[in-house]
Amino acid sequence: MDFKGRAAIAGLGITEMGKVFGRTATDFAVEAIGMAIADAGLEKDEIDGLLINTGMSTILAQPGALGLDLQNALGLTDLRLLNVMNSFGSTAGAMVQFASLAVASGLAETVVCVYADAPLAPEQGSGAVYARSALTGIESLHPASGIFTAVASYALAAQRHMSLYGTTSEQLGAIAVSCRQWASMNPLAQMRAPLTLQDHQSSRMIAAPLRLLDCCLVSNGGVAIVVTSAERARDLRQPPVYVWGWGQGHPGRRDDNEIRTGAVISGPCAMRMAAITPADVAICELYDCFTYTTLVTLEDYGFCKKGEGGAFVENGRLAPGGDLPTNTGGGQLSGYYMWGMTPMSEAVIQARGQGGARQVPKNDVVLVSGNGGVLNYHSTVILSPHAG
Amino acid sequence: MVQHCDACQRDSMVGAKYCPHCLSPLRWVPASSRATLHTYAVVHQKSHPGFADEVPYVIATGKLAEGPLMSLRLIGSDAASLRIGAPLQVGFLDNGEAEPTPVFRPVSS
Repeated sequence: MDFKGRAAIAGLGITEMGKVFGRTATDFAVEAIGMAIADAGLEKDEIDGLLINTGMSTILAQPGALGLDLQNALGLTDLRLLNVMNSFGSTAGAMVQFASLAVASGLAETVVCVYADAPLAPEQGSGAVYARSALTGIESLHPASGIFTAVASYALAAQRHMSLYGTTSEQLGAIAVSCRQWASMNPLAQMRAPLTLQDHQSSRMIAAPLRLLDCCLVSNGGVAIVVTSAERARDLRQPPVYVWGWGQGHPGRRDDNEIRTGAVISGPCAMRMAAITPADVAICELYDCFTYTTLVTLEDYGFCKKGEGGAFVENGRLAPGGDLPTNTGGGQLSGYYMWGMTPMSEAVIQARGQGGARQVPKNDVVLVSGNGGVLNYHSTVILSPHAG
Repeated sequence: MVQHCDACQRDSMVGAKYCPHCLSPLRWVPASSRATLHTYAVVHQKSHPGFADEVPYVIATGKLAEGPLMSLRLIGSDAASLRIGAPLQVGFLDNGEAEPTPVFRPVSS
């Protein structure tokens, strides 16, 4: 059965982002879903599926964290599809995949996918939120060794790439600079002030080789999208964004986890379904929790050979006007951090042609990449403004 | 120590619950303490009060002679002199009354 172009994204809702305090993840989710439904020109009662990606609020058991009860917060009754999903940063792509399958099979007709989180508080910074430690048992070995944070683990990964292939901090910096150039044209982006390579190189070391400006933001906020059938989407308010392909890739524990992501599995799967090759991709929206994540992901999708990512990202290839416009809203590095919904939301905007000053003229094939854990979980979705 | 599978005679990473090859239970067996440097990083951020006076400190992933990868602190060397593939030895830091902490140390050639 050919699923290419059978489902489409018909609605998008993005709340205020960043250090927005006094609101729970559920508050953000309800607002984002309301915006997405209105964006699509739908009534709430037309929603018959709800997929929920819980974030740090749920892991930290904060008040108002997301769960199945979001259905009741929204006053949705008699849903035909409902689930809480979490494969970390790969979840947004997985939600779109499952929603598309549900729509194509008749399980549901109109499915809302949402991510919302409110981990930041005035007294709790972004580093502390993602520094979790087991104090006993074998799981305490990492904290007892001073390995507390995601940045420490990604630093280990980036250093192996550097040692094996000669990748440099300046090459990682080129990714940060490019993201900021895009972010400067995105009114939703949190970090829009100009950034130079020198700024990157002089930013403080967090876990060498990664500097502060190699690290993403952490944001409070919410993003929701509406997935429905291609036929139905054509009758709705926004230009349909067709789902051309999808894939997942979860490498498990291997000796090459630092330099090989699940994109080597999910990418070919999604491109085969979409009947494209990397050369056909007009825009990349990649999960960029760290600059290095972008670099290694580009290699694993086959945009360049393994080990050549550093040279590939130099000289503005990913920046406005470059050969491969990437993370055109500023990504997670300079835009906003909504896990996999950061690349997914910007992909929808670009595929619709609604990117304003940052709109990429050639937008016929948009590749969306999700990454979770420390390069452990991966998803790919390929979107297009064209039905097939 | 590493975790050993009696069914298929292979060693697994510390912390594994079941043998990843045949799903059999594992038991602890003494390890050689020998490893090679797989990758490393230098932590500058003060993420925990217990390590605030330690920064910057080196962390490393070593490939144990038995096969598994393991990430620990690396002491006795600065990052500038580290090379992937260099031999390491696992030792233990004496923490007084607290449990000793395993660490990597470079093996001088």
